[in-house]
Amino acid sequence: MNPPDTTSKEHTDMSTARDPSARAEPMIDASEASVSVERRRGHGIKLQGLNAYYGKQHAVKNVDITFPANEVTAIIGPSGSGKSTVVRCINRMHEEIPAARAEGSVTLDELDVYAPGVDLTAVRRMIGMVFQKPNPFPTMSIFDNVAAGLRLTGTRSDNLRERVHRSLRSVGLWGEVKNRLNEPGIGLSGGQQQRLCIARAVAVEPEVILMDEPCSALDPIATLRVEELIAELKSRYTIVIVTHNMQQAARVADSTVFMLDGEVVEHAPTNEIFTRPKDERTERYVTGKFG
Amino acid sequence: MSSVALPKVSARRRRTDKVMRGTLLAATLLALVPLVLVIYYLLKQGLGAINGNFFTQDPTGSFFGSVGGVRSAILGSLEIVLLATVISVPIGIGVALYLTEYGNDSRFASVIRYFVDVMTGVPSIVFGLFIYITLVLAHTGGNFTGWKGSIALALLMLPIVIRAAEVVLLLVPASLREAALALGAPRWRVITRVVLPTSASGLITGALLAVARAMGETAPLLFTTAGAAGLTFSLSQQMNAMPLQIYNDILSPRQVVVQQAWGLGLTLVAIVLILNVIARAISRRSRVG
Amino acid sequence: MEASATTSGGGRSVLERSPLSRLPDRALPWALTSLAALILALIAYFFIRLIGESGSTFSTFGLSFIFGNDWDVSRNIYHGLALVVGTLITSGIALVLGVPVAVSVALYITEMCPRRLRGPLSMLVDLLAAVPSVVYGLWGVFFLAPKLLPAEKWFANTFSFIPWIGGGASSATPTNYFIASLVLAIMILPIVSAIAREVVATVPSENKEAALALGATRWEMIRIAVLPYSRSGIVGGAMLGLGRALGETIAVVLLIGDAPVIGKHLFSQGYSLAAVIANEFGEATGVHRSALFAAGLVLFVLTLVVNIIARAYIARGARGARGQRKGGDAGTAVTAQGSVT
Repeated sequence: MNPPDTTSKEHTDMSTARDPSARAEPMIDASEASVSVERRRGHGIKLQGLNAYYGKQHAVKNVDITFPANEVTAIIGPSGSGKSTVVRCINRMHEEIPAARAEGSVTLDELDVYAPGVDLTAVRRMIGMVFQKPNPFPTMSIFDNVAAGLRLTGTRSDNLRERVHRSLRSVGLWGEVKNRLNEPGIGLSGGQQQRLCIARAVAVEPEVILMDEPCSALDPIATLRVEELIAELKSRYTIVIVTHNMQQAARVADSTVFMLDGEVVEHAPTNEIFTRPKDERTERYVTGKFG
Repeated sequence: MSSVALPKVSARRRRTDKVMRGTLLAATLLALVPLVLVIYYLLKQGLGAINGNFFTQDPTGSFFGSVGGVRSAILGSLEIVLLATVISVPIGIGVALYLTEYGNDSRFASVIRYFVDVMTGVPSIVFGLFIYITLVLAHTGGNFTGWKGSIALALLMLPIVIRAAEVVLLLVPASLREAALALGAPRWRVITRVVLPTSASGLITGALLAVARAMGETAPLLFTTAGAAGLTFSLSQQMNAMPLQIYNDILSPRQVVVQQAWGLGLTLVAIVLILNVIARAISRRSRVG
Repeated sequence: MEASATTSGGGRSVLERSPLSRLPDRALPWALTSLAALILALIAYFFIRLIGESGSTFSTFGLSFIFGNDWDVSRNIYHGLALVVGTLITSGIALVLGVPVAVSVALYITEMCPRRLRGPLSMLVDLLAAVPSVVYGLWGVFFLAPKLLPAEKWFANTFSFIPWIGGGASSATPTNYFIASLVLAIMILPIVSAIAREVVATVPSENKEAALALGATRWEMIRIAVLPYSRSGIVGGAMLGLGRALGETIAVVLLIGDAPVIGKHLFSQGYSLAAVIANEFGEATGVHRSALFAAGLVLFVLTLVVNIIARAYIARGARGARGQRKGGDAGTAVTAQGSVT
């Protein structure tokens, strides 16, 4: 149930040093074994021996990563290093691609996501996802976009409205859209669309939010907004973010994973990976010598 | 105990999903039922009708004795459709060339495109009426003749050829055209030496599909070639054709004649299917190459 | 329009070609353009001639040619409501029967079936379009109509309380509105399905992934991400199918019963515009022939309107796909598909 000691310890040390006040709560989370009310807020994800393929191509090779609860973990690496594939394996979106398959274990706490008989629909309900390109449903209004997931599970009207409003508030979009909830979601700016997509993912109250390069299609100001949002959301969710932008990883992530050619090269607290990486390849990447 | 459990997907949602998957599959199988039945009955009834005389004699059309064969129908169809192809394919490719090489996005080109689209939706019987009014009523070169049928079919084939040709001509990379132009080749030579050869297989595919469509059309021929039992090679006389012969046979009270219709129906479907298969094979090869 | 590489030299003689060799480059665009214009002119000419030939009918019967219900050759009275109604009824039922199946097939092929089966399945459905209509007529007359007659009678008896559907059990004949509609449904299935397939294939994968990532089941994904996005394209495809059904002649003339009355039941005989032309043309002269031309004109205008609406829907569907593909591409592909099937 707990992340490996080394990671969490290193990590808590680091983050406490960096920002004691913000990290206090998750620090207790990660080190306490007892189930408290706080503890229930988030759940960690653990990948063990994960392999993923596209047809014959071996895209992810024997990956072990632990994503601690209520923390932001960034995955960085050059294009084609398998970072997006790893994330898509967590909520089993990977297998939606024809001829793609995955082996190994992904556990949400002790729950094996790949166990036989597991309902894909339930897995994805628990593990939300935000995509590279903002993808609001083009035929739906702002309100309907956020409500889409809730409606699937049969949430009724009063409750539905309240939860949609709350989700829009939690992504900081409420003030901007409250007077035009019935306008199409694709009428918003790129940054707003992406926050709408985050609101859509948050509305169903998942345990984990996966973000696959969520800012790569956004301008710097919209990017900043989304990054602030990520920092707020981690008090309630476990967040995994794939990014090709190392500054972004440095700004938002508690710990960072560096991947290369489908393998994990290094996983360490973020400031460590950027200041004193253990692996030479990591150093060359973070200093911009390749990739 | 794990502190986390997967949310229950409600039984209703699961059931709906299963039911809808089942429904879509069932609909797909249902759609194939008529195909299987048509082909099964064509084979069952039609193979019996094909005997020694089937391809070598002409239909007698008499109410007694031998019904003869269907030679004049097959040869008539081939002749009429051949002439229709000779008319429609060059014109169709010409118009497509105008659209892709010269018209592009001009207003006139979009008007042409629009009308060609609309033409695909004009019922084939209306094309028959057009030709009847303009050529048969006017007694241009006789009343009902084979060549008038060819023109009606050509009108029907034209939009198919134009649209198919436009799609493949657009696939010729602009860089290829520019490369040839940059060598100093005049535009018409670029078209004849580069554009047309590059897209030849696609053009042939489009033409074959149009031929297959024309082969099975009955309505336009009713008013233009009118049908005749005997064999003729002259396109300026009334002519027999496969769909006409089948149509007339269906209306006959004689069981043997109906039997002949099944045999001819089988022959017609076989020809149309072979044309389709060849067309697809050519287009597949060109895509791979 | 001129190749710039060959004329960039201005007036210098080295770079100038002889007027004779330049002739084809002048002539070709001119020739091709006039070819295209010729086709437009031809359609216009045909249309005008058709109006001219049917003019006497409209001047004699006026609007009652369409709205009057009395088609009697022996008295030379041609009020064709029964034909118009028969055409609309059979095409309407064909849509009701055919479109749901066609769209289901398209959804199954694009979203559910194993990848390996996609090609073969599409090809089989397309083959339905390769069967000539006279062969469908043959099959309908000698197999489908007699085989289904007992089932139709049972249906009419069992549901005799439903107006128009029931009550006709005793008078049910092998050839009737329903059987003609059923064969029309089979005939329009491939084109509607092919266009629906094209349109559904343009739904961006991002939208589908967004639905799945929310925890939607496969069907829910289709419902919230695929169908709303492709709706107008599917409507356009259905309208094209309607156009086909309205104008279909040979299968209908063999199966509808050819009675110039408005049938009282689903299983009664009737007539259609195209069927009356094909059936009565042989012996028609004078006013009768003009009336048949008028029927052709009504049919032509009807299909024209339906096709224009269909194209508008499909174009709107293709515009919806803009950004994923180049503007016109989806529309062009759809049209090509539509015309080859």
